[in-house]
Amino acid sequence: MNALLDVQNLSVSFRTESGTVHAVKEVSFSASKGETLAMVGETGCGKSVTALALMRLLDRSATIKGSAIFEGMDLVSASEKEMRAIRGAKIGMIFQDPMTALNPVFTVGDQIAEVVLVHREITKKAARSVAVDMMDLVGIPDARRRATQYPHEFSGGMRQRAMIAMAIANSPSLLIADEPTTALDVTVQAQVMEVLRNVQTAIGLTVLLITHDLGLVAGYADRIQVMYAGQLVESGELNQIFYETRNPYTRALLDSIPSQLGDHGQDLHTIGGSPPSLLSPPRGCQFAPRCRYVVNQCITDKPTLESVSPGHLTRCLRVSEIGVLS
Amino acid sequence: MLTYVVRRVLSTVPLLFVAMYLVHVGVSATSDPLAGLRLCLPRCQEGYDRVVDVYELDRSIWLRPFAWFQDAVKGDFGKSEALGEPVAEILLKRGINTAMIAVPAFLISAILAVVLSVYSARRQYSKTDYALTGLSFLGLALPTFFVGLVLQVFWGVWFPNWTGFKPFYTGTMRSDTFVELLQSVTLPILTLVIVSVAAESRYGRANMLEIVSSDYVRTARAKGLSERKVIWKHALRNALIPLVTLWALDFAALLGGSVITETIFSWPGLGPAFVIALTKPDLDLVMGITILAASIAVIFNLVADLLYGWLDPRIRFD
Amino acid sequence: MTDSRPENSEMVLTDESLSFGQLAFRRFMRHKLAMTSLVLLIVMISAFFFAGRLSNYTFDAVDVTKRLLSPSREHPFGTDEIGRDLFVRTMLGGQYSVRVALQVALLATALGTVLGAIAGFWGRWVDIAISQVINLILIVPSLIVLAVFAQRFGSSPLGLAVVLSALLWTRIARVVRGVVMQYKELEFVLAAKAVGASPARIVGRHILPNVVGSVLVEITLLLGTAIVLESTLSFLGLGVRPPIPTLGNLIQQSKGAIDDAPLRVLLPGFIVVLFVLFINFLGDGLRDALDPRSKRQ
Repeated sequence: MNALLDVQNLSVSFRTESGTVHAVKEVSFSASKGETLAMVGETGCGKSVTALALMRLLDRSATIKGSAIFEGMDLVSASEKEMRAIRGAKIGMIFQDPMTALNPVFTVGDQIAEVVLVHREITKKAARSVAVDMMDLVGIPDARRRATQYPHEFSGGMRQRAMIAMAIANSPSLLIADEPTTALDVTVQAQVMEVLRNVQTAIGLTVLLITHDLGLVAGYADRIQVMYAGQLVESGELNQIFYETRNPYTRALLDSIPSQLGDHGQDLHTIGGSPPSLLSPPRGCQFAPRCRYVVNQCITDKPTLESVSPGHLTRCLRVSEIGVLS
Repeated sequence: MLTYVVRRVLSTVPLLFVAMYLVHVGVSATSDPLAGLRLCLPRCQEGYDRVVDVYELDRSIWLRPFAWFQDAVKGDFGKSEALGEPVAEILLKRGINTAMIAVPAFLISAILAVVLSVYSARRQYSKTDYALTGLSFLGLALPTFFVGLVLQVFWGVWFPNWTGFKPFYTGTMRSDTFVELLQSVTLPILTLVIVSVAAESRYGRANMLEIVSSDYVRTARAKGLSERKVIWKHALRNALIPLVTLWALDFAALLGGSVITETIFSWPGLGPAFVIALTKPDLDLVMGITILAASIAVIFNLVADLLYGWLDPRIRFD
Repeated sequence: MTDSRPENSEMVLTDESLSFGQLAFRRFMRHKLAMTSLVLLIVMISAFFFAGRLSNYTFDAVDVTKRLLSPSREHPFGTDEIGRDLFVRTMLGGQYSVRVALQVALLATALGTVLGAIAGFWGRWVDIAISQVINLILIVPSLIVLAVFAQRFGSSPLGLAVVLSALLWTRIARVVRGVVMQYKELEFVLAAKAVGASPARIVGRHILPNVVGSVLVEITLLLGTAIVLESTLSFLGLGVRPPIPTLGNLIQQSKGAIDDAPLRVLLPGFIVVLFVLFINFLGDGLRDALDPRSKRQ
């Protein structure tokens, strides 16, 4: 396995006024070259924090432990200077809301050219030309003219394409996409994901896709990791997760996707209750209070990640008893 | 951008004239040059008539501004009763003196406010940050006259009593040498700067903190830019936008502050002249100074608007 | 909705929800600085109004044999150039300064609320007209224009209060206008309209209560500004004139003796600073308490 990114026991905690919040607890995973790895979960499960921790973009109140080896370097212990050389060059990142993620006072072309200028020794003119090429690559029509325009003159989908252009301008090997389509209309979502797919194929990119939208994942991911309350609860290939899930939380998530086929007249599925406090986590399994399969042992003992088949891990005390959940 | 400039200028010009008109009517309404003369009628009829003539007191108050404006365009702002000189000359001579303290005070406080708010945003929660925030809070509560008086007492009475030195002049303007000028000018400028910086940096800091935690700053960091570039290029450019409007308002406040400061330090600018003219009343001088101040404020506002449009591309395309 | 939760779950979370007023009061209490300032302000204002009675002297009792005395038990703040007790004079000065500030707050709030509400609610031409007036007043250098009017009308405390209000109503108006415009589009207002409520009723019963919070904060700031403006104008000789003492003209009168008795000159100014400081802390605390979204730094 040629792992591009190998994360071991990553933990992130925040100092707050009310105490220490454990946002990410001992998460381990790896991503191989060229694959699309999706991290899914509800809001607040720690998936975005994981991504920001890898890029070391969290603020000073955060403590990061563990290791994240990327192309031979440990991102957790790397110096700020080393990280700056990686950000925008070896690892690109796009964010959820392209309107607020782009600086309103600079032109789109300048902002894309900037990431090129920071990491390469080239002239401003050449950098701008690269920016226009990138905008072409992501499908922005009339790129040369649009490069001189400001973010507020772009539509939502176009802005996100510009963000993608900015993130891949230096041909990184890894792209982290944090909820890239959440703020967009459904029709535009598909377009943006297509752009992402094309770009990925074109430059051989590994994508870490972070989202809460399982439907999105179904169309694009190779492997999926499900997170809950800061922990990985299940990870495996697309088919394993969707058709052979071995985790009650994943099952509940899948059940909550409204289906177009059948189900007419039936109620919408929800997962009752709310996620546990990250300040004072429960003693046993985090999902126990909301789990359909809960028994007494779940409240007292903490489950660990176990392998149920090659490449398929799950975190559940009753995994052998309850088998495949459908 | 050009259309924006034209639009802003075109809408400011009428505003300027309305302001000047209203100020003229207001000043005319509040002053009564005939007050003393009424008592000595009919002996001083001649003097009475002369005053009526000079100030056009027989004309409707609503029409007098036009006559004033006609003369003003020719450079005639009337004559000052109190100082015995043409008002235009007084405006120029003393105006320069006022500018000598107002302009440097404005520039220094503007730059300091930017520097302090950047510092505060970068080193949030540090001890220095807390200290600076506390100081600016205190500064907000200090009226200009109090700051001026404290400085005057400190450098004019206490410090010389303790050390025997008097590094700054507190009651005159000496300009024989450049050094003497600096000595005279320091305390008035310092007074104005202290008051301005307090207000500006408090606002600037809050603004800067918001920007520093914004999404586009995070994106800039995600691109691998150095923290310096992130703050001074991406963050500051956005922070300047509201600051510019604040500066325009502050300059107007500074004009008022100069009146106080010049009175305290006996600086021969427009301030003391204004106060004396008000008590006489010296109608032409009061008129001249007030309209000048109002016009400068309006023009500064226009400049700020134009700068705003230059800095924020979203505004230009209205 | 089909639930994935077990039937006998013990994990039931209950939280008594507090009313908005209760929450606001709690946050305010937490803001100790504001509380301390409020207490100190009350002490200060009480002193202005009642402490003078402790002395045997009146504010205008002239006694040239006792000029420029240092502070003593008889004269806690000493005496001035013509032998008047400075403690009583300062307290009375504080009284008048505070009175002017309160009158300004009352007048400016009344005028500002009405005009701001009208501008916010009716919009379009009315709003443009009122907003332009507000803009003009805000652009022009306030002290200079105030000086002109104060000189003529401001020699009595009430006159000065009226002059200051004519300028300061704009701040209240802007806040009120903003809130009214924000709320008039909200659904509960549309509901009231649908039921046929008159504009006055809509504004009065539905919108204005939400305005109260912001206006209260603005009023505290206004009090501070008013007292600074009053003392500044009186200091320049353009505000309240003797024999009525205010903190401002007390300084003006003792300015001549600045070389010999500097503290005497600074004392009334210092009192103004304390007042404004306390008021600002109070205003900050109020703002934090009433706006649940504002983050404490």
